[in-house]
Amino acid sequence: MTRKYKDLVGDGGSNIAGQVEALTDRLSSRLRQIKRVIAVLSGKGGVGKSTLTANFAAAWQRMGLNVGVLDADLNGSCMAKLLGVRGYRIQESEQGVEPATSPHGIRLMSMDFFMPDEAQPLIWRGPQSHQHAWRGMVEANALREMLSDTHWGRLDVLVLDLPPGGDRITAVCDTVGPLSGAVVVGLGSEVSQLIVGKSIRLVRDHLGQETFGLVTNMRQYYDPETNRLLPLFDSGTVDPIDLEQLGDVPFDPRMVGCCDRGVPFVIAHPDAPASIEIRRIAQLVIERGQS
Amino acid sequence: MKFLCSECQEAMKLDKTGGLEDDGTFSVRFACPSCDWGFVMWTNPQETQMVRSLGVKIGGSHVPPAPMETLRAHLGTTEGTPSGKCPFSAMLPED
Repeated sequence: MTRKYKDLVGDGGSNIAGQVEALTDRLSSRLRQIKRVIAVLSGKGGVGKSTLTANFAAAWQRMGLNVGVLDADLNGSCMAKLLGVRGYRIQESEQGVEPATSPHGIRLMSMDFFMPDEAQPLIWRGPQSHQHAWRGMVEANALREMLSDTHWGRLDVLVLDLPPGGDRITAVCDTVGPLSGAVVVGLGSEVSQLIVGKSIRLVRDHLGQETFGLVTNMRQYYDPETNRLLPLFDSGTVDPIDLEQLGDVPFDPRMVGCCDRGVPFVIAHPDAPASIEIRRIAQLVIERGQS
Repeated sequence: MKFLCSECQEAMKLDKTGGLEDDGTFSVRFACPSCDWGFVMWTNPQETQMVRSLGVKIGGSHVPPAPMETLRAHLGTTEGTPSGKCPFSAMLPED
């Protein structure tokens, strides 16, 4: 009778499992210094996740919390620009790789800091044929290292800015374990609801993660000339999504300039309706994360 | 992945890791601890890359990996990475 896999004790000396366990311990040790890990996700691209992430981070920082941001969008990272730390080059200390610190005190780790030229696409070294066999694994491992090897220090909040698509959501949840919760961002259109709905079911129902609620972004815009909120899209009535609505952030034309200058909108225009709504949602999320 | 000596029903043990080839293939020799029969496993470049992607070293390591070692090795960035010269060196144990 041939002995089976489970009958063979150990891994024959390759020690792969032991090393993976050590890497997991390293991540756990780092995460123990972080009170809350909050993911901002959508599943849908172009809904304003990164802009909202930068502004939530700034709002929490202004509430007196120590805040870090991990730009988990490895292939489309923009958080360095949004937070005004473009061009930062990684530095090491005995505690790990030092994150950039924005002018407003937010710590950031981004793939941009490793790239020799931020205009270049992310190209991993390795066999260029059949990349599907290994690229996802490389990127999941890169995210694990960016979490575990960054000297975040003691944080009240670590915000994960996730890229579109369900695959990265799964990889991040698998790496981090239980999140404090996820903030889901959508646009309020039918197309957005369709894709965002899938992400909600993936994160909440399949992965069993906490979800704080849905933020609808840019359904309206603020007209500074008339001081009014007006509908931005002619999207009609759409079926409500199966998740509590946390808030409704209006677009403000001045946001574009803030993004380009690397200044969070909530800091540049604290009295604008969008800033007031972002701070209200930020407060709500922190309260829910404590309960 | 585990290997079994079909004659002795003993788990094969890692004997030594071979060098990496220019084409990205990699060899590991396993031997049976009872009868000393052995074989060499060659990985194809994609299999080599998959193992390398895990951030581990075949045969184990006594030295913890440098911060973000695997990420930087995959980018080909040598800043602060002692094993950064060879694109596959991150998966080899230190001698």
